Parts: sequence; C-alpha cells; structure tokens
Amino acid sequence: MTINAGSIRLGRHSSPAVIATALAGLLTLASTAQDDGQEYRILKVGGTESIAGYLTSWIDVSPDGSTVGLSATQGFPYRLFPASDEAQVRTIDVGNWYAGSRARFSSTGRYILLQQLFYLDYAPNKDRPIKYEVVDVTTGKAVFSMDELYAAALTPDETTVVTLGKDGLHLVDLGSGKRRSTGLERMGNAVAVSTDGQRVAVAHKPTKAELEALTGLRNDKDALKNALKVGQLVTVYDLATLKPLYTLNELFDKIFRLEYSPDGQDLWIHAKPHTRKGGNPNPNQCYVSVADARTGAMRRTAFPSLAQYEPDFRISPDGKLFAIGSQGNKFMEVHLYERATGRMVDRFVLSYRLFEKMASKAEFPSDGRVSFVFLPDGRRMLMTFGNRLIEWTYAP
Amino acid sequence: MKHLLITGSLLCATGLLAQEDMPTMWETKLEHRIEHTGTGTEERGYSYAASEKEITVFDNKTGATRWTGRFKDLAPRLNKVDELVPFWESNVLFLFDRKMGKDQIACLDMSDGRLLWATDKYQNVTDENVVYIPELDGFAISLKERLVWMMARTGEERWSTDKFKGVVGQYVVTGDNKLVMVNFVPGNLGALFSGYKNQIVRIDLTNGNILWENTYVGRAERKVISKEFLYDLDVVGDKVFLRMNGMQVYDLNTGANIYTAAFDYTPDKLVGAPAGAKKFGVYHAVADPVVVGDDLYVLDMSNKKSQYVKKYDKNSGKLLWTSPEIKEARAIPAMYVVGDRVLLQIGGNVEAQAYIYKREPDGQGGWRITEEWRIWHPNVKPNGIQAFSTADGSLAWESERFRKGITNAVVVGDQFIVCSGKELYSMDIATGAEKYAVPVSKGGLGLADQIMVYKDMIVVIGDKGVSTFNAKTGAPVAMGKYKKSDLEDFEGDRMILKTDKADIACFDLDDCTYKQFNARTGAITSMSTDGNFVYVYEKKNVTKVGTR
Repeated sequence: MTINAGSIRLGRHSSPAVIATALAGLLTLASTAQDDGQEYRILKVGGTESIAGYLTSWIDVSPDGSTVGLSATQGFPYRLFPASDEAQVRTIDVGNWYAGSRARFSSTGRYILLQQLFYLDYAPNKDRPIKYEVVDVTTGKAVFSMDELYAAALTPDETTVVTLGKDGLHLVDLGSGKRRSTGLERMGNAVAVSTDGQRVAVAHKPTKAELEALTGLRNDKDALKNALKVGQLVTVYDLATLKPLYTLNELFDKIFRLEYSPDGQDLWIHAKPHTRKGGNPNPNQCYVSVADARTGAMRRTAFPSLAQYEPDFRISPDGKLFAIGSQGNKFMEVHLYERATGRMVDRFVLSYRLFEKMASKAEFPSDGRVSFVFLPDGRRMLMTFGNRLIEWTYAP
Repeated sequence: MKHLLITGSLLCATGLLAQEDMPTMWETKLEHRIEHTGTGTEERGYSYAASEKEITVFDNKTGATRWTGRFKDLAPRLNKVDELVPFWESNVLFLFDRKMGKDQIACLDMSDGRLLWATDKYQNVTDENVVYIPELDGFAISLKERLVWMMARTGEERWSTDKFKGVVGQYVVTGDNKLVMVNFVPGNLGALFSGYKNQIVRIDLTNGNILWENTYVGRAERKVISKEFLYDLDVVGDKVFLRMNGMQVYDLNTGANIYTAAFDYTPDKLVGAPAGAKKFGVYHAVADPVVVGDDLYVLDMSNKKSQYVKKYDKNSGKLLWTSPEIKEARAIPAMYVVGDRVLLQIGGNVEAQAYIYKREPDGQGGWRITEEWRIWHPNVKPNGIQAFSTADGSLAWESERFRKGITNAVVVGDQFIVCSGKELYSMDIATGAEKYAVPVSKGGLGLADQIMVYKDMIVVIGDKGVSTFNAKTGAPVAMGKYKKSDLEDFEGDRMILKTDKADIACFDLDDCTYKQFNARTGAITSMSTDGNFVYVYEKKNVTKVGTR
C-alpha cells in the first residue's frame, strides 16, 4: 500500500523536474555545508586560476610590499607580479629545483635567496646538506650558489652571505665571491642575521658545560644525558667581532630554522622533536619558540604546528598577528595567533570546495605544503595551495 | 601571653566538660536488614536503605517510609540484588542481579520505585562499567567488545562502538553533544578488555562517531574503596588538560598532543598492604600540579633517587626551569605556590585504602569471614620542607626541623604552617624564618594526625580529640578530648570523629565542644551536606541525629 501511494505521488511530476529539484537541494546543501564563513578568492595569476598547471612551492612579498614572488617545482620559472595586479607576470629562470625552493627577498628586494626543498626526507632526525642560491632579481642571474650547506642567510646590507656547513660558519662576499672562515667550527643547522646586521644567531649541538648552565635542566642527570644526544642550543655572536654575546637559556629540539622578525623584536626558533624522543604521538609536531632579539631572553609564547613539511611562519604588517602553516585532519591550514599572547584567533582550512573541480574542469594537485604572505593592507593574505594562489581576507 | 594561656586553659576545661549526646530527630525500624545505603541531600528530601531482597526509601525529615518493596515485586526478573548503584542526578537506581551468564539489570525511579526498564542484554556489568552523563541523561555502559550509549529513563540503546575499549573514566561535555573522555581498566576487570590501550577520545554522543583519538601516559585509576578518580580532565579554550602523573595537553579540535609534562610514578613500597588485603592502593603521595596564571608547576618523581620540581608554560608546554635535586624523597604530598615561592612538603601523611577479606576458622569446624573497607593515613618518611624561587627554580630555603616527622602543612597568609605531630610550626614563606612553635600533643589528645584551617584558626585533629590554635600567634584557643578516633567527615563548623566501634562525636570547631552518639559496631554514618545532621544506619534501624 505504501509503495503504491509513493508511486502515485511521484508520477504527478515530470522526471526532469524531480531531478532538477534534487540537484538544487544537493547544491544548496553542499554550498551551505562547505561555507566556513571565511572570505577568500582564487587569484588568476597571469590570467589563470591554476598558474599554468604546476605547483608553487613558496611565496614572498618584496620588502616594499609592491611585488609578489612565487617559486615553483620541477624547474619552472620564478614568477613575479605586482601585488595590485596578478595578471602582469614576469618570469626569471632560476634553474631546476625539482621539489621547489624556499625563496625569500633580501632586505631591499634586490636579491632572492633560494633554499632547496625536498618532497621526502627519509632521515628526518639527521642533518642534510642542501643547495642555496642568491639570484639578482633585476638580471635573473645567480650571484651565489653553493651545495652542501646546512643553512645560509643574507646580511641586511646585501653584501654578504653567512653560510653554515660541515666546516662551520663562513662569510661569503657577494661582490668578489670570496669565502672567509669565521673560526666558528661547530656544526649547526640554522643561522640568522639580525635586522640591524650586528648579530648572527647560530644553532648547534650543546656541550655538557653549556647544558649544565641552563636553568631548564640544572643537574637533572637524565635530562642532561638526553639533551646531549638530541638537544640543540642557540648562540648569538657579534657579527663584526664574531665573539659570542650570549646563549639562549633554553634547550631546543632539533632546530630547522632561525629567523629574526622583520621588526627586529624577536628571534624565532623553529624546532622539531626527535621522532623517537617520545612524549608526542604526532611525529609532525613542531614549535616556533620566541626569544627577545636583543637580549636573548626567552619569551613565553610558542607557536605549534602539525605541518608535514617545515612550516612557513610570518607576522602581520602591524606586528600583532603571527601566522604559521599547519595540518588539520585532512587539509593544510594556516593558523593565526595573537603574537603577544600566543592565543589562536583564526584559521583557514585549505580544503577543496565541493564541485569546484567539476565546475572549472581543472586539475588541482597539491604537495601538502603551504606558504603564505601578509599583504601590506593589513587585511589580506596570499596562500599557496598546490597550483593555485588563494587570497584570504582575514580582517574583512 | 599569660592572659592568652589562662583563656586557653579555661576554654580547654570547658571543652573537656562538654559531652552531651547528639539529639535524636527520629528513629525508624525497617522491615529488613540494611546492606546498601544512600543518603540524599536535605533538599532532595529522601534516602534509601536496602538489603539484598528489599528496599525502603524514607523521608529525610520524618523518617516515614515513602515507598518500600521486594525487588522481585518491583522488578519481576530480579530475585535478589548483588549491586545497587544510585545515580542521584538522574533519580534512578541501577540494580544488578548476577546469575552466571544471565545477569539481569533493572532500573528503578528512585522517587516512587517505578520500574523504568529491565534487560538481560548486558553481561559482566558492574557499577564501574556504568557512567551516567547527566548533561545528556544517558548511560555509557562499557562491555567487553563495545561501548553502549543508552537513554537513562527508557533504556533505549542509541548506538554502540567498538573503537573505545575499557571503561569510561573522566569526561568533559564540550557542547553540541560532544564529549572528551578518558578510558581506564578497573582493577578487577583487567582481563575483560582484550586489546586495551590508553585512550583519550572525542566522541559525538548523538551517533557514537569518534571524532579523534589519542593516547595518554600513565594509568588512569580510581581509588579502590572511595572510587574517586585519581585524575582530572578539563577543557579550557581549545585545549584539553589531562592531569595524570603531571599534565598532558591535547588540541580540542584535532586531538593532537600539544605537550606532555607527565611522569610515570608508582608509589611502590611506600606503605605495606595489610594482611588479607584483596585491594590496596596508596594515594596522594605526589602533589597535584599547580597552575598559577600561565605557569604550570609539576613534580617529576619518575626517578627513585632524585626528584625535581619543573615549571612549564601552561599554554605551550615550554620547560622554564628545573629545580635542584630533591634527593630521595619517597613522597611529596603537598606543593604550594605562594608569591614567589614554591613550597614542598616532603614526606608526611599519604592516603591508603584497602579492602581486607579474612577467612579464619571459627573453632567449630566452620569459617568466620570478616570484610573490612579501610581508609587510613599512614606517615611516610623522610620528611622535610623546601622552598624554591618561582623565578628560576633555585633553592630559597629549607628546614631541618621536620626530620623526625610531618603530618601535613597548610598555607595561611604569609605563613607556612607545618605540624610535626608533636608541635605546630609557623614559618615565613619568603625566608623560612620560624615565627612560632607550639606543642599540640599535650592535654591528652595524643599525637596530631592532621591539621586544617578553620576561620583564623588551625584545627589540630589528634588521636583522641580536636584542638584549635590561633593561626597568627600559635596561641591555643580550645580543646575537646574524646576517645581514640579518626576524622570521619566535616562540613562548615562541624567535624565528625569516629571510633573503630562506630561511636561518633561531632565537634563544634568554634569552641571544640562536642556531642556524641554511641552507635553499634559496624554502623554506617553519613553526614548531611549542610552539616546539620548525621544519618546512622545500624542493622534494621535508621537514626537521624542532630549535630547542633
């Protein structure tokens, strides 16, 4: 009885009408279900949403905020476009970077410093020497290139590349290419030059005496033993005299990146625990710790990330927000924190919206890496997402 | 000083003379023996007493029977009750009848005895397997293979999941019918849950979907007798704080472990188990973590030879400092953070609980079985007091005074007041300088077992009574001498001491006078939540006595 009654009711409508109603319902459901309340758009870089089909690996904005630079995988060119007009693209051939490069502008935007990236790292707990290159933005020519480095940084006066390799810390003059040893032969993994060019921070393995001086460890024998095996310290040197100024009063996990904040306030230390160190079931967990750039005193805030790759992190133009790339259950995310308190204020989930592939008929590959920049207006942010660039208005 | 002593002596004398009986409000004789009891609050207005075959719910004000009946009449499938578990918040009584593979469970409305539902669907369920979640008015029942969610009033099974093993322990409702919960294996059911692992999960209670799952360090336990959880779960903002052997912090949205400041610690051989103990546990040997603003102070007792205090950033888990070694402290039951000092009480009273079962020949060819559920507070040595700077963890001061003994310590204003058992010491929190030392074991009260703060006084609970001292000056205020007894309960200005033979004395903490009630050996006493009454359950009798 019930089946017949149902058939009669269905029979009153034409099939296309029923299908159209069902589709409309589904679309409404999908659009409401996918709406996370964020204001965003996909940029058409050079006139296309999918940036000619290849993956972007890193994004940066020039110090004056006028130019956006995109590095890419598979040897595709480095792309530059005005922040106000993404259609006007200029390209530079920066060579063959298979898994892409982390590309950052120098202090005036004259150069870009490129750091080799990898898709996979099978030995995440070990040091891996990589390639660094400095390219002149105007000519597109490489003015410095070196393999087998653990870290490299450009001085703010753009004359010198500070390199950290198996043989310690060296200074390379960009003009002459002359390489000079600093006499600091301890091996490290990360290096940063302060925004005033006076100090250089270096991450390195600790000695027992250095560890015993840390209040965090004191004479906790087990902690000292463990720290000697897998811990790292950061020492800050005077760049002119190369004399040590201070060692940060904290034991870090393996440090992957050191960076001074653009406003010269903070020294950021990005570290990740040894994967077998225990205590954390998520092997991707890493932190950016914050120290006072002048005194070296550790600040209380730290910014966590679950990114599968080394995460990008930046501050907003007014210096109040700190953003870091992370990974959610399925999708990459950008987390926005209050810089002073470490309280999360917003996040953007880089997920695919239902039916968007169907609508544009484009392919949207992604390598699980997210890079982003704050735009100078203090409202918007650009984020890489595979072969697309997304503009998020985080302060509508 | 002389004036104070005279006043003190007079008060003590007053205390010694005051030995009135507690007034009887009513006395009720039931039709059955009393094996299970449950005392409802005065606002609720009723309580229950039950044998294995009958139950009576009586009025708290008059003692009149509200309803009574045999379980086999109330719930036809039940002949007897092996376990009776009240869930006061849902107003229901869970009844368990064990029948070798055909266990019966029934649920009664506590207010009128109406049968809500009964089932034989679930086997091997004990009170430990059932958790009532008042926010959603349902029961989470842990079975061998699955976790079942059932509505409290109807018994309707809404869903079940096999992804959660063990028993639901602590939980926090996070809104939208979602729950963060921790599992545990009750001691007597260890073998029941195969493939058990420590789980902390976030679950959607509307459909049983596990939103995320992670593991935790340590062993989630309940006290063996009083059944209190030995850990805490809390959600603050987007973080889940699990206090167990320290602190373990998870992201509420993803379940990712943000940081861990937890240390495995087993209070091995601190206190010997009594003869015949079938269940035994030692608790409060390590002080809980202390949170002050954004700071988290945790005791690291994982190493038997050396122990440390560690200070972390509460939000990020960043280790800020480690204290110097606290060598060979077997127990650190109390940690306080006051001003710029972290104060540690090393050694002293810990809590022990045991279920003791003895089977002895009765001399006539049979056996005499005695059962005892004991909670006591043994003292653990070595003892000491240490204070550390909150700024960098350096040792600020320590006291050699307490080598021979400590009961416990309390903080009053800028004083750290510590009892050695014989004397009460007050020390300046900043410097450790001694402000006063007064004897507390004189006057026939015996050695002090414990001290507490009441108004501006220190209450010293001795072996044989209670005395009070001015917290600022140490001057004696009042004293009341009773028989050898232990602290049973306290509420507001009333404190109950109970002897081994179940006699009770209720002290007025303002002047240490007391009223007493001599109950039969083995009587169960229960203080009302307002502190004004005590319910005494003896064989077939229920007596309500006043404390004022």
